[in-house]
Amino acid sequence: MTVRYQLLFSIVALCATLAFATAAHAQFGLSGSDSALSITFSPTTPSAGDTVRLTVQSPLFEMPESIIVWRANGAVIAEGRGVDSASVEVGAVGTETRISVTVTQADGASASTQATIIPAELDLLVDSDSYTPPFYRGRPQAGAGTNIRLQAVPRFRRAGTTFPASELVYTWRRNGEILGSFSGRGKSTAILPMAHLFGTDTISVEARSADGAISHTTSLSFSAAEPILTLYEDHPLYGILFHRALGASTFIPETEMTFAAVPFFAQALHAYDPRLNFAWRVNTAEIPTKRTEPNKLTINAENSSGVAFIELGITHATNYYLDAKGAWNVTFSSGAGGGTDLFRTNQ
Amino acid sequence: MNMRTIIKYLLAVIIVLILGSLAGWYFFLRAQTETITAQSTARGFGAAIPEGNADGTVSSFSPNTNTPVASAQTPSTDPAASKGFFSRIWSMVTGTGDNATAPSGIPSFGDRSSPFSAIGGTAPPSPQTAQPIPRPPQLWHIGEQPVAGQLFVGTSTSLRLRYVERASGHVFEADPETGKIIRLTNTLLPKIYEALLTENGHVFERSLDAGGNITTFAGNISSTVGTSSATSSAQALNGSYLEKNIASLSVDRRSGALFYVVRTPEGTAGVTADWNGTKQKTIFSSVLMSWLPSILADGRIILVQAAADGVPGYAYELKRDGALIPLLGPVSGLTVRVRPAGGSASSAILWGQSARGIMNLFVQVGQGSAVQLPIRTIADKCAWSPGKDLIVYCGVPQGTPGQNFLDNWYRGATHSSDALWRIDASAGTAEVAYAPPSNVSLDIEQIEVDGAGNYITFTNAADKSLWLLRLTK
Repeated sequence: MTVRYQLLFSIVALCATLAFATAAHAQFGLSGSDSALSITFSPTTPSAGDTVRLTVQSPLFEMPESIIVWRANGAVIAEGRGVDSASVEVGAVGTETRISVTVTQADGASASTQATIIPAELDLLVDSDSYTPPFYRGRPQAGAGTNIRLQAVPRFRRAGTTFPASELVYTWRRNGEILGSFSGRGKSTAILPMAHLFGTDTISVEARSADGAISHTTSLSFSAAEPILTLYEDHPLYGILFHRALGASTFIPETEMTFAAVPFFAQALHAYDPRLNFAWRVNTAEIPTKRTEPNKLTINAENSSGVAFIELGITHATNYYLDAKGAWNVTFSSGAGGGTDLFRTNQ
Repeated sequence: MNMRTIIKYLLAVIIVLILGSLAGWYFFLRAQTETITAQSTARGFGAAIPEGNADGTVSSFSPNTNTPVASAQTPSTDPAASKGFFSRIWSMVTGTGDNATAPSGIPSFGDRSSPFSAIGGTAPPSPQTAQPIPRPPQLWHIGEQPVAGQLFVGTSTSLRLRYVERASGHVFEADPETGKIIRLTNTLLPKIYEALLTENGHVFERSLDAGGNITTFAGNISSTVGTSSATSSAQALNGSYLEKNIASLSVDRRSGALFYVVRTPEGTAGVTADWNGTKQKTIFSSVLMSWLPSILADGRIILVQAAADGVPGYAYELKRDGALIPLLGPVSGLTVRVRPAGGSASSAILWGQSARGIMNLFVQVGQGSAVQLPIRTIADKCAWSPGKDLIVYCGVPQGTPGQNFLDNWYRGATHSSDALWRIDASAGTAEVAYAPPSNVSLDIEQIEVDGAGNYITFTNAADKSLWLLRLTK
């Protein structure tokens, strides 16, 4: 009998050691190496206020037949035969919740283990350096050829001490593959090229305290945004009317107007980036672009029918993914009338 | 032919030449006056003010006669037309008489407050007052010209709406009670895309230079420019330019202190500074490009990621040591309006969520739980009332705004027709506060509530024109 218990104890100790060595998460600390039990919880990296579901597993104990008692910070939160899971609501960031579970078999064999949950939070912020016009209040979205700009904002705390973002170790992954050059201590930001035109990328970042005691992982998925070609009026008094994009068919109560094209989310530093090639057409006739402001077109509709079908295509000198097109039917208030479409374009 | 006859002929020739010159001068002046009048009419001078009522009816309001008129666009009749020919010539030459008066709102020749005067001109300013009006309509279309920004100044008894004209950068002030509009500044700063004002007279006018860089002019309205005097005069807007390419700017409305986000080679930096750009201190840096800051009345700095439909966004409070205290996130298409804490009122936060064509609005008071409101709009169309009660006013699109409304709205590719809703954040309820007449479409943005909660101002995003709504009839 004694030998049998010694053998059982040895197996339990071995399993406990293995379990300690392969602990799934740093927030889960086993207090004793003599435990044959392991606790898993979901979510694996809880945030403040989360309700965490705890599950106990063992290769040795018959859980359905065992009496299981769960405690959180000393208070019983669940107990009963075969109760191998329980839920607990964790506190604020940095607040420790000590979990203990005791499993007792019908034959009196018993084991217990402990874990400590320290909620942490990790925000993953994203935008892009794609082109948006001045005073644009929306988010620039990553078009093909632009860069995704990512910033991790961690909130790690323990025993009242906050871990500075610069002291944490970050591991960046793209579609599961570790980005070694972007990962490391203090590397809370990453600037990644948005190479794909199609498909979805998943970016994740794991932040871990230097001692491995606290960690958190966050991920997000996104696709490349299509550039959006938008046409505005460039008013002589008010400037470009960014608040009033021209629709597909527009009536203009003037005989002359300057148009400004804005390639939202394109790879460009500004609207007249020299790498952008603007190809204007008016009523199928090619219009030479102005060197200094190729994104602008002036049309004078005097002595014409007043109808202009404006087409614009934008390509990029090095980014072959960029090929944005737009077309607008513009009807001017032409005073002179006439049957010809002899628009005077002033590029 | 004797000398007497020669003199007669010479005198006749001289008289004919003088008359001819005067006639030519008259026709030249008339042509110029007509051109100016036509341009001014096109720009909205003398346009009638549409008055909307909650019952859906609409009428117009003439600022000159204070009587309802039938047409919204009523070109003013030139009073000179009813005068005699020589009287008109004499008046034009000497600049005296009624017929020498420029149409309402149009600067006269030689007036240094003209839109075409030199910057910082020092010539004696001329009065820039309009005819007093007893009381504007409940929904007052202050002007048809685009406006770059506005702010209520003064108390409830001397309340004024101060605003910046987009075309000229001139600062105007409108009296909500009398409808009187005066121009405060005469410094020409053309094409102002965005303007911020403070209660202590600072004005920040943002534009683009020839190279496409964002410029920010920080000016100060002279304290001698009266807001209540009927003889107030326009003066120069003195100031200086802040650094270029300030991507987004926020200002403490009381002190004028700045917090702005400027582009750097690494991304962006957040800088605090005095109103004129001195005492700069960088307290924040990021690789992200699109932060929208705001300084609350309680001094807190709020940083929100620019929003995009369906893309998660975050909002933080930025401490002066650079620490980011989380407020919200991740929330798809996040737009935020934070209410400052003050007095007995607790802080509250209103935010919008936009994804897959569905917009939701939430409110949270203090540390309480979030409540979803029964209206669908974005927080950019909302403003907290400064009073003790937790009241928010929001423009709420009538009908279905459509897919990706937020992105399209930011690009100016779509506009909504809004009703104004009043939200009681304490109770989590919302009710219609004002429904514009059916023939008035208002896409509400840049909405502000005055300190007493009696007036709401906003611009119509469709044309950037300025409106003022009196909450009590």
